[in-house]
Amino acid sequence: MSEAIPQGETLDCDVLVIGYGGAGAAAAITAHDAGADVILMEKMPQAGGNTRVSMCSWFSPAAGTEEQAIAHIEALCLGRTDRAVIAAYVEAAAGNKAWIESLGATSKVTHLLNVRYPQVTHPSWPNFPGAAAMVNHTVPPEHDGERTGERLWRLLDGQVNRRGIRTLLGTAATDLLTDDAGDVTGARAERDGQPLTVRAKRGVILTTGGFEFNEQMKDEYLPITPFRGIGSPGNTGDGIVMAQKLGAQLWHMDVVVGGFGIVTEEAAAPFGISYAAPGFIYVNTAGKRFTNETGWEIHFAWQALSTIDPRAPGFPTIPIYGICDHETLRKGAISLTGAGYGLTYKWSADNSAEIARGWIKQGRTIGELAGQIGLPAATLEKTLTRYNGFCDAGADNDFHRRKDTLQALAAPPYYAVELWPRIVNTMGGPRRDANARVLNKAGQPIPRLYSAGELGSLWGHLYCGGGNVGEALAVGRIAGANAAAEPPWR
Amino acid sequence: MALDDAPPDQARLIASRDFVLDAPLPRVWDVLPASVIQGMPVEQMDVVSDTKITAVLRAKLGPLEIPVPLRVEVVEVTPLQSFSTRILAQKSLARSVLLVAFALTAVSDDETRVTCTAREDNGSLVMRLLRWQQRHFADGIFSSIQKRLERAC
Repeated sequence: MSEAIPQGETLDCDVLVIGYGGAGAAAAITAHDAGADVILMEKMPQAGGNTRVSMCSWFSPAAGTEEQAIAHIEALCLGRTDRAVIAAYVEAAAGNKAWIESLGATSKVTHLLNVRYPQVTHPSWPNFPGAAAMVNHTVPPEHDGERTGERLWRLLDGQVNRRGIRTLLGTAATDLLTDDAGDVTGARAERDGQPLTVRAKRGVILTTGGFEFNEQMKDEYLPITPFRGIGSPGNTGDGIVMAQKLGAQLWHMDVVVGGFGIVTEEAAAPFGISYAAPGFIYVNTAGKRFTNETGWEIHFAWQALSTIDPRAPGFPTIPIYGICDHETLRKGAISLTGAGYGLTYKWSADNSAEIARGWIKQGRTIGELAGQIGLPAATLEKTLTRYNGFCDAGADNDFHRRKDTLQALAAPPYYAVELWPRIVNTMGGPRRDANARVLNKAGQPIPRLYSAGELGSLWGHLYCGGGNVGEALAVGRIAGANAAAEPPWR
Repeated sequence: MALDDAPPDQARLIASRDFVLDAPLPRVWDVLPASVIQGMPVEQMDVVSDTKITAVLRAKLGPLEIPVPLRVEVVEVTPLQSFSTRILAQKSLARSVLLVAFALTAVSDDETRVTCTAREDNGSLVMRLLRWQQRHFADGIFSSIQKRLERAC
């Protein structure tokens, strides 16, 4: 090896997995079951990544529908992902259900209730070819109130522990090690301020997630700002930096899944907005509607905020305001807190606690509400009158909102929340091939370096719900199997 | 089947409604779950999981309006065909468990038949005494759902 003699402790293994979320767990379990001695390394004190706080819906197409699924994902990726990569993913994802069940869990097809607004549809893009093949499954929670992502995580983590796979929490990888031939042979890391070296005789798998919490990368690659993350705070793009040092090619760095949410001083991440009835509108900083509020695919709702105004700097739709009346507010909580780190707060079912906290502003009239949130009262009143007129007529002439979602705001008092861009996850990272090998700028595999999960995800343009956890499980297994099958270096 | 005419081993039919909408079946399927929920006089709705909702029902008993805790659980979904829920309402000794089902059939490319049924799965003695009220309530909800679906389609 060309690297200097490592300082501090040195550990040896066959396969080193850096990043212990869903992809890391799938890779580690698979590599272990293929006979490899595996070490899992995670910089956070707690493992789980974004899988743990996900809605636990994972793609697993039925046998015989794989070609349709490939066609669908190709259409979503807009030519930015190689067909071979998509095909390998779909083939492995078709085994997700059987694999999860082989670990001892039951699974069932996900059917979304779809009773809140804006609505979540599945498949996310039902009009694209092959949509019917995009079937998702979930692992049902074992008791009410258990987060589905947490349930899946307990299963995966339990299986890692049961196998006796060595797990190093609180251990941050800093650099990948290579030999003279350029083969990746391990990683340097830091643990409790002390250097640590892990030598991996067969391969290294990067499963470090995205860069939702790396401000510099978000500024560099994402189209709007500020963009606040709700996933694992450990997702700071470490795998991207390590792979780039070895000449990795990056892809999909501009692809982001998210929407907007309520930012509070008390919670670490923004609360997503989700009304229990359709009587609501969004207005911009001028107090005007600017979009079909129920027309955006839920994973890409942030795009509603990407408008620019050629007459003024900045984004006129950051922040925006969600406005509703009492009829909609009393129907139920306006935020679901089912996913996201730091969102342990339980939103009150009648929203009263959040009004008391000042997170939801209230006004007896629209004019009074406008004063509460600093919008021009006359404009907001005019906006509401116009929208209510569309509801009476059953047609939204401005933004063509669906008829069944046109519910007037006619029952005072009125309520408002300020909404800011919110990231669920990023997709960018090192490009990988169908075998989950990380590619260099010439498109050649960097020897013995693999990746899986949201780090360099295959979703190259649009995204179908359930696709990321599905990819973590499927490509994690591809990476684990292939890394374990590498001949050991000497 | 006539109301109250179920064999003892089957859930008793409380109410039913059948209507045809001028819309293709996939469109009706799309708007059905939301129309069902929005058609119910509930508030403080909370989504417990992807198949369970809790809420407070504003039940009318004569001139009185009584808040009743409600739990709605999706028990069966066959996409584009049917959707069944189990609705548990309990307030003190009054306990009602209804199986409410919605079935869709294409009448033509642009017409869809919706069949709604509410059956009593289990209920307390108090609820049996209030069956007429239950029926009236289920009829009212089906009527509201029909109106919403007609508007949405």
